[in-house]
Amino acid sequence: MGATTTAPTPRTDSFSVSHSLEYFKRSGSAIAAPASALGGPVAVIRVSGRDLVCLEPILGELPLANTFAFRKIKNPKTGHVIDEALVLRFVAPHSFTGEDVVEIQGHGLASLVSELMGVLSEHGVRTALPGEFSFRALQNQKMSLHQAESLHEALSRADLNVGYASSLVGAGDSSESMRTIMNGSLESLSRARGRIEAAIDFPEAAEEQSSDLRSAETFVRNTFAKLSELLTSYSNFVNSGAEPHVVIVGRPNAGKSTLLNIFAGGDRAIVSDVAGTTRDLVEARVRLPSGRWVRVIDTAGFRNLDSISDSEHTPLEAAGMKKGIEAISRANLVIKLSSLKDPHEFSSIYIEKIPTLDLYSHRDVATTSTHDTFAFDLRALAPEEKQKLLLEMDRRLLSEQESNLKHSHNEPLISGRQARLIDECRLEVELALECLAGRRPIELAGDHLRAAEQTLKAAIGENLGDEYIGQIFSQFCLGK
Amino acid sequence: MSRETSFDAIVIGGGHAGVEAVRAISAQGLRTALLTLDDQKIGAMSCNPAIGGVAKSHLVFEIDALGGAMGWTADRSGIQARRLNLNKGPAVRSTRVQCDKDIYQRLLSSELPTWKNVRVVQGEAADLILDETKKKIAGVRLAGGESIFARAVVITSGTFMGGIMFCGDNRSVGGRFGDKASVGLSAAVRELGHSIKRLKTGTPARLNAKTIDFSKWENQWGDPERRFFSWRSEDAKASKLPQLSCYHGYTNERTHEVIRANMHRSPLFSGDIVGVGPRYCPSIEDKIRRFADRERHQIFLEPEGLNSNSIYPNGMSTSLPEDVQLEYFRTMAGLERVEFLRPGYAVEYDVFDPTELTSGFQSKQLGGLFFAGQVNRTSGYEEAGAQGLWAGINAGQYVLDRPEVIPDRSRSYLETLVDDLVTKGTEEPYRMFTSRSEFRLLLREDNAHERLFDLGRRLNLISDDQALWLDSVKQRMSSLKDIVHKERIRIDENRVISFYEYLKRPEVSWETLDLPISSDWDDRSLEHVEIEAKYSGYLVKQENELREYQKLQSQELDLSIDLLSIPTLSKEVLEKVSKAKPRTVRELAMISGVTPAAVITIARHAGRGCFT
Repeated sequence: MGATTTAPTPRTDSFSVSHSLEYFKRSGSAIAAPASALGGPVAVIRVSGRDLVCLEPILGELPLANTFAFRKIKNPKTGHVIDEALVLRFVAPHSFTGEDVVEIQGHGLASLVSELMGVLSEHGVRTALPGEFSFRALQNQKMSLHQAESLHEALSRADLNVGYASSLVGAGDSSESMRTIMNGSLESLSRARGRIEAAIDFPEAAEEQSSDLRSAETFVRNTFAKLSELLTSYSNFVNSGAEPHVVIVGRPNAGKSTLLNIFAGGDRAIVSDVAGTTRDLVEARVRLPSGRWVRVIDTAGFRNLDSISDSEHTPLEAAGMKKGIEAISRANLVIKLSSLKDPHEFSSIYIEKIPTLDLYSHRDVATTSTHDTFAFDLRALAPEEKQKLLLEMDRRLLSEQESNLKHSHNEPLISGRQARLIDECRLEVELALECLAGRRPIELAGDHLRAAEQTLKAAIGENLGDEYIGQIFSQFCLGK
Repeated sequence: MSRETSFDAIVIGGGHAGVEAVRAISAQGLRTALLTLDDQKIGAMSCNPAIGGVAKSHLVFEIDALGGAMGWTADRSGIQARRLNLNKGPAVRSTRVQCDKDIYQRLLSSELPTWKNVRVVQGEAADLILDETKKKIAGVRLAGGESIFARAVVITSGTFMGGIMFCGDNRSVGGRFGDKASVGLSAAVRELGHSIKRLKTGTPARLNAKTIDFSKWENQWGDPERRFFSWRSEDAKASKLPQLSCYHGYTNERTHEVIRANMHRSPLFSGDIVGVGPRYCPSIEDKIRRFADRERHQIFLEPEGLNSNSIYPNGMSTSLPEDVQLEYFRTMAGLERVEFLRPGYAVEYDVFDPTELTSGFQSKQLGGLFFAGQVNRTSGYEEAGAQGLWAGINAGQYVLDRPEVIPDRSRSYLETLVDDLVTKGTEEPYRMFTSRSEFRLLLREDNAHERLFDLGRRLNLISDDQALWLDSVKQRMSSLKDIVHKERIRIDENRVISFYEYLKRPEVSWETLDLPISSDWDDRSLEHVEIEAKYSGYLVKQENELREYQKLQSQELDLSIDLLSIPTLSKEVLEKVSKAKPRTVRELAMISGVTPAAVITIARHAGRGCFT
């Protein structure tokens, strides 16, 4: 029905109206944002807030007021050093925002920036909303209304990805396809929510509800898959500048641990054994002949990785399998190790799209195919055989990287801020699926989906419109 | 005898909004006149015979919590009560009570005139009287030429203002079957500068029960244990009325054929009706046109009273001509020989724009003039009642020279409704849903009285009896909470956990617990504790959001300052802000076209201290 003829027309700055509420709600809390374009040699992250003591676990003691110092940036949880950086401290009111401001100038690697932003948010420093820094500057009278208005205009026109995706992409294609995926996901989520909310608010229409909820579940599942894809494309991008991952897979007793030990150069190859389950991954850092470092990751042996939901697995096994699948999803190269003693070969849908190096062990016991180039006796591997293996890994990784570069312009691309929002969104979607599966009350699915939509809208840069409920309900014949 | 002509406040219209407005004003100790066309039809249920439903029942609980009449009246006239959404989580469970319409109306028509400070005046409002400054209301001129005077006037005229009824090509002036319309009032309001628009609604035919074969329909009984809306009903065990069954069935392909063949005779599609109708209560011809692939639509046959032959066919509202209505009803099994007590009809009426009102429902054009109910573009008894109460509260505050009460969305559905209407407005009749609230886990039936206690007490809407009752409820709930935290249950050889932890599990309920304690407690307390357990993590999350929201809404503005004195505000912003007259920083930020930068500049100049 003609719902919107005289409704207040949404303006181009409509997102800012809702954002201004957000700014107010959170005024004073610590916020952070990358302040430099990516790709340069130096990355600048700016943090502003009333009290920045929360940074000390990460940066160590803050420099004296209005000075700078050299600091190691640590992840307080793991103790691992993320980067070494110059830390500048501005004390209120002598800063851009008029609050306390700390600037971190580190190395210009996307993966480092992303990790640091993640650590900051774990310590209560939220990623800033678009325009939030200048809003605070205005609030503290560091900027005139006129200046703020024009800055705001510029920001809204340049989209929200200023300083991040726009500098990464250059052309509009990638962000356009990102937008298409996100808008599509948003529509699926709101359709699903419409069905769920209709089931709650119109319980009389009982006979339609079970099919409505089933179709809602399909919409939500599809969206979950799409969001995961976006996040994978992001982590691929971030990791493209970082050490490539090589993941060893194979059936039990194929010799995977032996292979890892060979790479690490000794029996104490286990360089990281994260606490938790006994089936966690072990990994080694290996230098290839080209001089580059790679991370080689061993997975637990599985007969069949594709049946994770089978009830025959113990929870421990299932957890180990999940970790294996995650490692594979981040892999740049998979080494598939098969034993010539074992008539079965390892197979999995998860490795289908990833460059794979086939390797055979137990050459000593084999009767045939000993001429296979990559068949070894791992327990007595000659140095030249090891060199041959490392060279092959180098070659495969290089060609993978080249083909990635060729494709990267068609890949959907999102900024770090968007990735974090999408990750939040995906969590909400996952929780909604829990509700739809009957493990939590159904009305919480509605709330989770609304939260998911809001984070996704924030990632796109829009807010929920006024006629929203009308829109989602308009698809159904409702009411008595 | 000389008739009393001077009051503190006048309420125009004796429908559900009017009744609650009278209640809220008079409870504040103010002399209140109810101006009604017919003093025997106070609180008439003009359309369906039920009070409550999802989200609507939450409004009824809230009205009751603020001393209103709706829940208490429905409890005493209920002839079937059901809890809805029992298969979903406890936060969205709702109560629906079908009432004996006649008893409901008789209770209110006889009791309202006995309320303290209340006088009923029979007559039609023809015009508004302004004071000498022309900026404030002074009274109402009646159709007969007499005048009554008051500092505040609340208009709750429902569908009566400019009402035209349609039944096929037959049209007549009126606000409800058998009642005349009110004509002068909307012109007077328009003259003040308020914009006026047309909306429409409809009601189905009433069927004669004696001509229906109910054996062809599926029985639908109420719940054996009923939940009461009102705190007063708990001791009184309110309704002793017998409980009746409703009946459930469907239209069929033949029904649809008859309607399709006569679609051109509906004024909805011939262009005679221009008003937008309620999307969530569509007419049957609308449903068949918009959802052409549906083979059937649900119908509920609902008795309208214990001693009445009138059956309300829920789902069949229409504006088609009477002969067509009869023809399509008779296509259905059990209705082959059905006769009407009266045909269905549509009514088109004048409404105002609620965005032209303050958040206290006061006209921004004329001091002391308030609007509530259907005239504010809503549909439903409960939505009307809630608004009447809010307008009544604020009309009282106005007369007492106190500031308006600012709505808090996180406190009630009632205030969510108010906030939605005045900040966003609506282009079609507005109906409440649980999905309209961002705080729906916190806004529930079981805690309505607790949520609104402080507000109600401050405004003198809550009696000492009600306060004592709430104390005892709270005590009951807290001792139940103690028990569930203390008592333990063995779940396997190794683990013993508290009842409370156990209750958190989705598959566990009081029924499955099967504990001796559950019989000692009323179901509202049990539900309350179960909800707190089941939603514990979620409730904490929403409470955090609630605090953030309240922080915003508590930042009040003093717009008596000269906006022009603020440097650098654009002309557009100045105009928008002076027109909208926001009362808080949040309302200011909600105005479309006001940039964040302008918000903060204005807030810095007009903020009342709490803004930093």
